[in-house]
Amino acid sequence: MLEIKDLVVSYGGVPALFGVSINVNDGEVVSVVGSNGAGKSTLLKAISGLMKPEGGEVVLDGKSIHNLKAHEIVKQGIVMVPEGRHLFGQMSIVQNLMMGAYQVTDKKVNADRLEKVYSIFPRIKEREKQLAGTLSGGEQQMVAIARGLMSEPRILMLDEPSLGLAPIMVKEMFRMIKDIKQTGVTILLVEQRLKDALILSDRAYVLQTGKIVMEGKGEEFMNSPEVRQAYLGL
Amino acid sequence: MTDNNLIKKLWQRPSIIIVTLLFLFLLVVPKIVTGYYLHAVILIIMYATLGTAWNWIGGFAGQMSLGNAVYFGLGAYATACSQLWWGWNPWLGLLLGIVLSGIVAFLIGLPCFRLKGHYFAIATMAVGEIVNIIFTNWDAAGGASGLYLTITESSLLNFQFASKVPYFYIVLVLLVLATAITIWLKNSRSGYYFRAIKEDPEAAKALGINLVNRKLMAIILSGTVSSVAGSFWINYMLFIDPPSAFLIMTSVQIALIAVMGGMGTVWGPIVGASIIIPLSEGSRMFLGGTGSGIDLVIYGLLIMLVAIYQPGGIVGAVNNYTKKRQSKKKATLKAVQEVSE
Repeated sequence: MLEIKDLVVSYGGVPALFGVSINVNDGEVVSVVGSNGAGKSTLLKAISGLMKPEGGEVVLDGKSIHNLKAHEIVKQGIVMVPEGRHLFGQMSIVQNLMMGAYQVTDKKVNADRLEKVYSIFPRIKEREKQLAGTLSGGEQQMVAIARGLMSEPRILMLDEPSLGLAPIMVKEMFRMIKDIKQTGVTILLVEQRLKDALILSDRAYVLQTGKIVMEGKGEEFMNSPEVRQAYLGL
Repeated sequence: MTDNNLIKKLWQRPSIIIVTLLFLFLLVVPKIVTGYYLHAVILIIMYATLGTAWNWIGGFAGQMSLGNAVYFGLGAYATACSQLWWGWNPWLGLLLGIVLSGIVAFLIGLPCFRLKGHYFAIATMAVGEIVNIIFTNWDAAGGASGLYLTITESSLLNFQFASKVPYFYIVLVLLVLATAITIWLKNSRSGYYFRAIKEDPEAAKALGINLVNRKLMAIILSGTVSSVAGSFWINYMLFIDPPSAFLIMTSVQIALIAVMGGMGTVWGPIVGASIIIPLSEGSRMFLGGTGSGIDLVIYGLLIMLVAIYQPGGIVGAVNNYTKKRQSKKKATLKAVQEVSE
C-alpha cells in the first residue's frame, strides 16, 4: 500500500537518509528500528510532508505523494504522531482531539470518531475537560495517538511512542498499539526499544546511519543471532 | 427559585455583570463627557477595536504583525480617494477599503508567512514603511500633505455629523462587533486552529491543519476590520496624511494595546486601550511640544515590564488571580468537609 523508493533527505545539505526503500502492506505493523541519529524520525517527517525529500519517491496505492503538502498527505490517510507528543498544552483533551479531525466538519461524524477513540483509550475520556499540559507523560502519549486517530487514518505513523514513559506505561502503550492494529489501521512504528517493537510487528527494518541494513519478519529478527547480538544485547 | 438560580449563576460569573454595566455606562457617556474628553473616549474605543483586530492575528494565531496600521490607513485612504476622485459615498468607500485591505492582507501574508517569529514582525514592519513611502510620494492621493474630505450635510448616509455624539455611537457599534467576533473565535473551531498554530505549528502541520490558509484567514479578518476603523477615522477627522495613517508607531501602539491588555483574551485590547490612549493623550496634553515623544518612552518601558513580569497582560494576570483564589476556596472547602466527616 505504501511504498518508499530510494528516499534521499538532507538537513541543509547534510544528508540524513541515503536512498531508503521500505514498503508497508495493508493491515501490517511495520517497525523501523535503529539507534539515535539513524534517520528514523527523518523518514517519518519525509513521508508526512514535513520535510521535502531531495530524491526518491513515496507512493501510496500507486500514486506518488511526496510532492504533496503536509495537510494534503493527511487527507490521503497518512498521519504522524510526532516524537515528544507535541500536545497543545493550553487546550483541554477533547479540544486537542478535535484538532486531529481537521478535515471533517460534520459534527456527528466527529462525535462517532470521538467515541471510537475513547473506547481504545478509556482513561482519557474520564479527563476530557482537563488541560493537556497537566497530564502525565503516559496519558499525554495516549492523547497524542488518539489525536492522530481522529482523522481516521489508513496509515498511522508513530514516532517513538515509548519515549520518556515509565516501564509499566511502556507495556501498556504497546498493548494499546496492538488494539489499534486490531481495528484495521496499518501502523508504521519507529522505535528504539527493539524488543517490544519486534514482538508487535509483522515486519521490521533496521536503519543505520541513513541506510536500511537489514529487513525481515519480526520473529525472524528476534531469533537472528546477529540482531540479538548487535542490537538487543542478548 | 429560577430567579434565584439566575442571580446565583450571574454571581458566579461576575464578568457578565461587569460587562453589561460597562456597556450601559458607555451608552450614556456622551451625556456625561463632552468636547475633548469625548474625543478621547472615541479614540480609546477606536484603538480598542484596532487592538481587538490585531489580537486575532497576533494573540490567537501568534503572528506578531507590526504592520496593522497599513490596513487602518488603507481604509482611510480608500474612503477619501474614492470620494475625491469619483464622488463616492463614504459607505461605499468603506466597502472599497474592506476589499482593498483584504487583498493587501492576502498579498502581505502569502510571502511573509514563510517567515517565523521575529522575522515575520520585521517583514510586516517593512511593508508598513513601504506603503508609507508610496503614499507620501503619490501626488494624486495628496502626497505628503495629505487629503481633506469634502464637508457635506450632516447625516448618517453621508457619514458626517456636526456633533461628536453620533461618531461615538458608530465606533461603539464597531467595537461591539469586533468583540463579538473575538468571543466567537474563542469558542469556535477556527479559533482553536489559530491557537493550535500559535502553540505548536509543527504539531498542527502534522495533524493536517493547513497552516497557510488558516494564517491567511486570520490576517484577512484582522485587516478588513482594521480598515473599517480607518474609514471611520477619516470620516471623523475629515483629514488624513501618511504619518497619521501608516506611521510605524501606530502599528506598534496597536500591538502594544493588545499585548498589554492580554493577548488572546476577549477584553484585553479594551483594557489596554483604556490605559495606553489616556497615557499618550495625557502626556501630549500636559507636556505639550516639549514633551513630545515622552509617550514613546513610556511605551518602551511598558513593553519591557509586560514582557518581564506579566506576559499574559493585565487580563491574563487577573484571570490567574481569580483562578488561584477559586482553587484555594475549593481546597479549603474540601478540607472543611474532610474535617467535618
